[in-house]
Amino acid sequence: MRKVISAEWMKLKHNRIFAVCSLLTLFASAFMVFKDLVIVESPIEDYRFWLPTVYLVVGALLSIMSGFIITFLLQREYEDRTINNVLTAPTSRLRFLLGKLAIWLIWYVGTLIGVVIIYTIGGWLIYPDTFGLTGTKSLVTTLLKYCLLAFVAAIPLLTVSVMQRKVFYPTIMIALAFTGIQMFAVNMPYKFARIIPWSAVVVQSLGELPFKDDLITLGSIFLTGIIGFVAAYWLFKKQDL
Amino acid sequence: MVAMEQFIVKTAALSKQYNDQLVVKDVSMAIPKGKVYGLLGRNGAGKTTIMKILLGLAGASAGEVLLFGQSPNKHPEVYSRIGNIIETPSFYPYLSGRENLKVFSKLKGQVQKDSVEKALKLVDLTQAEHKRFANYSLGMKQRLGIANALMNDPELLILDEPTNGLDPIGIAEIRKLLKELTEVHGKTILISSHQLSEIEQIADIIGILHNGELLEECDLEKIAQHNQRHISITVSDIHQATRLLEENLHLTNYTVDGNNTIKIFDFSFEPQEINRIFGKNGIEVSSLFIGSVNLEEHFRTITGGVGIA
Repeated sequence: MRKVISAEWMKLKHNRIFAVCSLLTLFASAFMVFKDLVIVESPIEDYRFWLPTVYLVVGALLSIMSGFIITFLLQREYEDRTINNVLTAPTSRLRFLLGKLAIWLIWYVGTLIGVVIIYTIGGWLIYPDTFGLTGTKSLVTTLLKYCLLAFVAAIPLLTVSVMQRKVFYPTIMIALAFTGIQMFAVNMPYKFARIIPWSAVVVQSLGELPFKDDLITLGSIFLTGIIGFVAAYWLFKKQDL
Repeated sequence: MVAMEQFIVKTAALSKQYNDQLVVKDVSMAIPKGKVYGLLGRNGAGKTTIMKILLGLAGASAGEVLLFGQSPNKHPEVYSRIGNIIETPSFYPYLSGRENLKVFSKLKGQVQKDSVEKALKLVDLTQAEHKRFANYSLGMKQRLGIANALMNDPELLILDEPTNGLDPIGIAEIRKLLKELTEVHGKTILISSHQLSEIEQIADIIGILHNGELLEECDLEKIAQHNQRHISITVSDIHQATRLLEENLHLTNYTVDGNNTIKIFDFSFEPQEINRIFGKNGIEVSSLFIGSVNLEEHFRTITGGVGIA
């Protein structure tokens, strides 16, 4: 598995998509901080009300960019037919998919860490008197939880990418749809929001939940992730190249 | 009779169906160790599909594949003993030739440290090793594909039209390299092509594939012997001539082409004797000579008159 990830890493040399997606996410986050710090005349007074907007914005950014990343990782292999050389190297189809998932996760976590740093600094600058360690802890833990759960819920993008082969837009469209559901979660009836995996990410991360709902939201998210990966593997295994 | 384990590749009733279309029909082929097997067929005959099935890139709808005497489904490790080029050489366009080979050497795992250098040198790409693959010419891409196929020192090479896009000198070099790989290093090669002259020069065995069916599999030497000589006669009335051959002379080993020409592969009767009998029955003979059939004509005969390209 290590050699697959190592080879995936080598493929990223001279690659701009990853850098562009990371920079866009980081710049957008920095801009949000800059906006609240300089542009907006009366920003949200209490940082505890500011934090949920941060989670939603970051979650949306990472979700959209994930669409581009996973499309690049898989669609280009089909497009350039390099997938033939990779699989006959030989690399098992399971390892191939796991390698893609690992690289996607590495990019995701790397960018997320950058975002967390930007918003932590932002929190301290915008709310110098109140943010403190409590605000930092709240931001870091909730943002990490929110985004990592969003990553798990986004794994079905892998299935779409396998199905779409050379066509690039379905994964991006589906990523946008997942993002839309996430953004709409706060306006959704609770009984639906806790079941639909992409809105369940928001419910799980932003609210104090009773045990049953805790189980339902987490179950929905992880089941989606597992089903997404198993479906991707099953479809890929049967696929003629 | 070659022992079972000596067949590096063996397929039994291999079939592949895409929707309603059967693209490979009951193909049973066997490639002995150390031989060059030339898979001949027109574009769309099913050559690439068979190779993809052998490499595990496509699944068979029916039939069995054995590689090195083992089923690759149960023993996927056999794939590491194979080098290949399938369709066009495919590499990461934004990486250089060297970087591409490094990626694949990493994936192949069991390659020597200097395998990338050796492979680049072997195909004469050291000058362009830092150039991006996207800027390579077709011939350079093909050579990089061959370098990649050879990098893990495979026992079996599966090469799908490996000389596509190469200039005559490049083709000759690749031919020389493939000959050396089999004769000196004992490699087994499955090579597909629609260029008969290319196959004729390097293959030991040929398989003629037409519309997904393996019509013939035999030693090239035997074909040469079998088709060494024939009597070619161009006549005024083809139907009467063939009737005379069959009924009066009991000759059935002949072919007819569209120019009223009959090729008789049976030398039971002298050409003069046949000419005399035709003349006696009012058939005009405009040409008569003893000729030999090349692989192209053999292909045409086997496929029922269809040319290779």
